[in-house]
Amino acid sequence: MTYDAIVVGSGISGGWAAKELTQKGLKVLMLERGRDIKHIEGYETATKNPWDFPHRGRVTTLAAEEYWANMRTGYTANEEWRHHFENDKENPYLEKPGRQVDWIRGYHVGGRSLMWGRQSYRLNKEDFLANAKEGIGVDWPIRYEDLAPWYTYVEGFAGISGAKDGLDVLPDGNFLPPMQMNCVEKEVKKRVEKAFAGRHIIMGRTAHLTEPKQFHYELGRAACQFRNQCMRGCPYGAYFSTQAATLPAAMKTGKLTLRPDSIVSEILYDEQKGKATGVRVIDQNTKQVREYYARIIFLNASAFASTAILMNSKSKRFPNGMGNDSDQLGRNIMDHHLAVGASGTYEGLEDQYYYGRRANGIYIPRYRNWGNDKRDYVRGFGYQGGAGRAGWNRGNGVEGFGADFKESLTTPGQWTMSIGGFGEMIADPNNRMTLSPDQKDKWGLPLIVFDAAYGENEKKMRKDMMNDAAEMLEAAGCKNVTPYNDESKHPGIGIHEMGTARMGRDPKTSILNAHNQIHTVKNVFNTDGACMTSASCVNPSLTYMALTARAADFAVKEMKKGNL
Amino acid sequence: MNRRDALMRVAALVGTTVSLPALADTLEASAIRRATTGKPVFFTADQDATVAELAETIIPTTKTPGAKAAKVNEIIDILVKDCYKEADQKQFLEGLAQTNKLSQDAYGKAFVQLDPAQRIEIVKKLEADAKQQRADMAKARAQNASGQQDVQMPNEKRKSATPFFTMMKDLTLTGYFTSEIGCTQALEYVAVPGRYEGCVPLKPGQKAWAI
Repeated sequence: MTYDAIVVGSGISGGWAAKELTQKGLKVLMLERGRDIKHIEGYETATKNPWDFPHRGRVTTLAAEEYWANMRTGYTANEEWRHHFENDKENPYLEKPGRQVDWIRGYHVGGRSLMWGRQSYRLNKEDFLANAKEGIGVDWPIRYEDLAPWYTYVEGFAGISGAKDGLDVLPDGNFLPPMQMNCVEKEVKKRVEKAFAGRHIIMGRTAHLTEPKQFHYELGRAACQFRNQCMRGCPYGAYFSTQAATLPAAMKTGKLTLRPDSIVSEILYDEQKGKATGVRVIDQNTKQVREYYARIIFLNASAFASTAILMNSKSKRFPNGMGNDSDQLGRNIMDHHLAVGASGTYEGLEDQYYYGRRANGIYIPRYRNWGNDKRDYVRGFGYQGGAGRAGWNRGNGVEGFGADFKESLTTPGQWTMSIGGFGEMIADPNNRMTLSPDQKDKWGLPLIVFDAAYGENEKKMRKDMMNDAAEMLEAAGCKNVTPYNDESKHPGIGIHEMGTARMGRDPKTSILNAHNQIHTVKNVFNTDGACMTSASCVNPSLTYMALTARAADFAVKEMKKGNL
Repeated sequence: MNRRDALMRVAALVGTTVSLPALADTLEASAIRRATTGKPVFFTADQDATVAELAETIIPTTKTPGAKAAKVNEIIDILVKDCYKEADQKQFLEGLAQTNKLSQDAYGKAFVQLDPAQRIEIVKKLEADAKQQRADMAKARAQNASGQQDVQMPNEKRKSATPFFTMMKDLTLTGYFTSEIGCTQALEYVAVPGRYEGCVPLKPGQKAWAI
């Protein structure tokens, strides 16, 4: 079968590619390696009550065995949404001892757009300049100004709630109304901003419809109901996902074919034309092999999977993987390092509570190595966090049982406030993935071997991330402040993997150009995390959306000019 | 027959369908088996009854129903079977035996035959034992860290393990406060809040949100 375009992957960036390309008139085939999950009816646990879960959400020993990588996150294997994450035993990967990667996947239609954290921030001007200034990795081939109009465009369609905070470090966008802070968060904000010039506590910006627009309703989306059960799938389509937003928009054009269960093993290459011609696909159930052809290919399988497909796409021209003249394919693994911060209790405001479950928190934008601040490391970090009143499970931390104990647990507990850091990880060519020469998965595809670790820059940064968090909570008047820095985690734990097919100006040092085309195979585009030249410290998905919309626009213009 | 096959067979026996890809979810079999047979899946009938009374002693009926009404023993049976590692299962069963030994020693009766006041005394003892075990383990860890060894302490006690009462209390609180009775009567449960308000004055007697 021949199409105008093939999109590999149906997650956040693949969904955007399918929407943009079909809306511009192309006949598009979107391939998804996993099963189909239909919007609403496919969300098996979406409306279950706590008592409907046979293990009340807990992980069974059998699931713990099968979801061994997911067990490292501490939450993705839970009973409420485990079926949206990947069974690691069925889909193994390999790790160099002591150089491990936590790879958390979602193989199904919608990919991780169904379970993402939904925090949505723009990179800032400095993020695009820092590599060149500091001589780290390669220079981004684009600047903030190149992406700004595309941020505005994707924010409008996706629906991002947030306040215009007027901070250079975190550019404002095209927002729906922000969610509210609770009483303690407001008080902590006041005190921290007074105590530390240049630090700000803002409401998290998140991909939830707080006030849907007409076109959101027309796609079948409705306002956030504040259930905070997002990772189960949202029956209201209130947060941005492929199913809720980009897929219905693409389907409306009548130009999209979606094929689940289709594992792309490689991109086909025509040595004479110097172009990709299509993809080879293995049916995940029948193992039947098929080929599909198209004029352009958007590779959006998620950073590591897209990279593995390129590595597996070998030809005379590209014996080391498609587009890999630079030997940078698979290198420069980045993520956001986390599991570091502080928490404390807050005395006062005991007569205040809140209503509803807000799937969002406060955000503290980066302030380190910003303006006049200089540290013994480069780049910076932000914090996500929030305040709440302790629930019944506080009973496990104290002595007691019986009638009075029970009654005490039925009332709201003490206020607690916690903040956790998200730090930028810098590009290091030694942090890499390769394909195993001998070990294969059940479809005969080589297993990925990871070989990566945090570097000195991240380790130094983490000290600030922990100490600053404690210092801010103390300045806010919190008591029992407990700092933490869990160094047992590996790159990937942020589920923001990036960098393994980076954008750059020079084919000798990068895989993709300023339009996300492979330098040397112009009709193949990659706009998922693999393309990221640096990581910034903000959550990356909004940037993938903007890069995808921008690349799709370029691709269609180039096709019309006859260049592709 | 591996464990999964065994579970699939159980699922087939009670007539559930097993579909890809969530094979691990065949563990729902335990809940279904307990519900359809009315019998414990892991405990003996005596152990099950002891768990029910222990849970009721921790979370008794007050102005709202307690752990027995919420069938907390049933969820504990399932969680210990499906979510506990073998060593923890053993520790839990030993704890139940110890509970009855303490009851026999003090009152010459099994725990389930005690009156509520006697049960409270036994549970106080279990709680004190758990506290002592945690203190011993902390001491052992500190000594290991400083390179000293307490020759008086048996090896058994140096091992890091969760004391029985700590497990029992955790299971009881989880089982109760995630049950329909716990969520909707002891706590306040709103399935679909519909909005978020950050600052709401607490009303007199207001209960905590269930989730």
